[in-house]
Amino acid sequence: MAISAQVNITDLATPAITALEGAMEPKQIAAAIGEAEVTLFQKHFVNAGPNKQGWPSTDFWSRAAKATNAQASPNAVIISVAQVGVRQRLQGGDIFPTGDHQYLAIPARAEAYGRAPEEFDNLKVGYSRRGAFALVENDATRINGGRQNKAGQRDFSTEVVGGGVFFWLVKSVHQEPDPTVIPDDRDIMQVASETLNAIIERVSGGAS
Amino acid sequence: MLLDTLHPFTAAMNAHDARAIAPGDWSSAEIRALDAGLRRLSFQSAHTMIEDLLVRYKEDIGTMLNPTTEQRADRVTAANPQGNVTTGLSQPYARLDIKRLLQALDYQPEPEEAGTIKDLSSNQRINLVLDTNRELAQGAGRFIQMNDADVIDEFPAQELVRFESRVKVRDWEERWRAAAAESGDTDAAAALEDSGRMVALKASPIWDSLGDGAGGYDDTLGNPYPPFAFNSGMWVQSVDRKDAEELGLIEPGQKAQAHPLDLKELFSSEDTNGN
Repeated sequence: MAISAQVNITDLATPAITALEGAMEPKQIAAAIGEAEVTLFQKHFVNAGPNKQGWPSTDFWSRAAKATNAQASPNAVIISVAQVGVRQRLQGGDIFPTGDHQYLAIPARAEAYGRAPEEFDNLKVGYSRRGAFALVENDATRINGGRQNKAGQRDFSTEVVGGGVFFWLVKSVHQEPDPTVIPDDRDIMQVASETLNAIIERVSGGAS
Repeated sequence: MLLDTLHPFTAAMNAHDARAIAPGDWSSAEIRALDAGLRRLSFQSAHTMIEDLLVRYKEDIGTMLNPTTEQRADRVTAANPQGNVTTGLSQPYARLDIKRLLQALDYQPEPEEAGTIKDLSSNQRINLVLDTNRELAQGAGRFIQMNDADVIDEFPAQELVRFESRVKVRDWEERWRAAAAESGDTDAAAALEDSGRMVALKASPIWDSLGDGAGGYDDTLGNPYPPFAFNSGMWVQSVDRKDAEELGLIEPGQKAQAHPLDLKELFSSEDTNGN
């Protein structure tokens, strides 16, 4: 899911906006605050830590930073992060399979992280007594070539590999909300306030 | 503060929608050599002559740029009383969609190219096309917003910053120096030497030089906005007036200028998809 958040300019700054009347339109003030908020959100996303498993990054949060933008109106500025998955992490909730799928596939190892199960052609469903539980690697035979002897012959050995779990299969997942995925309200309001003060200072020629 | 209604990144969508499908056997260098306006209004990929593939790429990237919200009764919970579900492709499923299309088209790479960037069905190739074109739309969209007349005086400059880490890191400071020299922006060069930051006025031609590969770099995309090069982890962020003044880029009271490239006009001037 993606998110949109609104900073109401009039709540924040009606007296200041009144003071600026004639010098700037409210939409100009909202646009400037929006630009500052985009930078705040982007820095927050880019500084998000690595994933909990320590697997190679899929750059999810830097992609979110690139998807962050602002739209100003006379009363407010809307900060939008147009990327699937952001609202889900922020608000949490239940996740169910979509389309014809019966299960969600949860990555079980680094190779599976950031990949769709259908992208692998060597997986099969693993069953327990309670039914399907994982997508596991097909068994395969690995041939190991030995060193060549003086007679020019080479020994070979074989071993059966595979069977490793790539994805766990589950009927649903409940994700707890994580309000820290976006900047907290105080930081958002502080950035808005600082930007407004800078505008007042500039418009009034430094007499703020 | 959070809104139930998702607001699209309209400027990025406009940039994406304005591009017309342009299949062809062009190399990356030949695409870069196209007229800048034509290049920004065409959707192509090196050595890709399969029109259906480009059409699908454009559709999939559109859903990645513009996820939409629908309300479903089966998704109503206490935490989600309206049953909101966002639809739009994530990177793995966009990649999978492209692979399935190529299978349906019976595409086979040349044996010696299988799995390489020249293999249209390789992860490396598909990720590159998805990332580059999504980022081109987002970069253009932000370029429009960052140069808006309502913003430019408070945020007259921008900084080249790293958004994504890379195993093999390009020397962007060297590129910055070359671009500053080519464009004649001595203030931008001085900002790097004095502060270690790659900051310049938004109106500076250094951004064009950076995108055009000043210094002899042939991996750039020919735009004054990010991504400046293929697979680059760099992006830009606005710098406020006070910071820009302290860096010596603008004088107190000096009117700031937007970059002269009018992308808003370019992307709204014609219906390039023939709709």
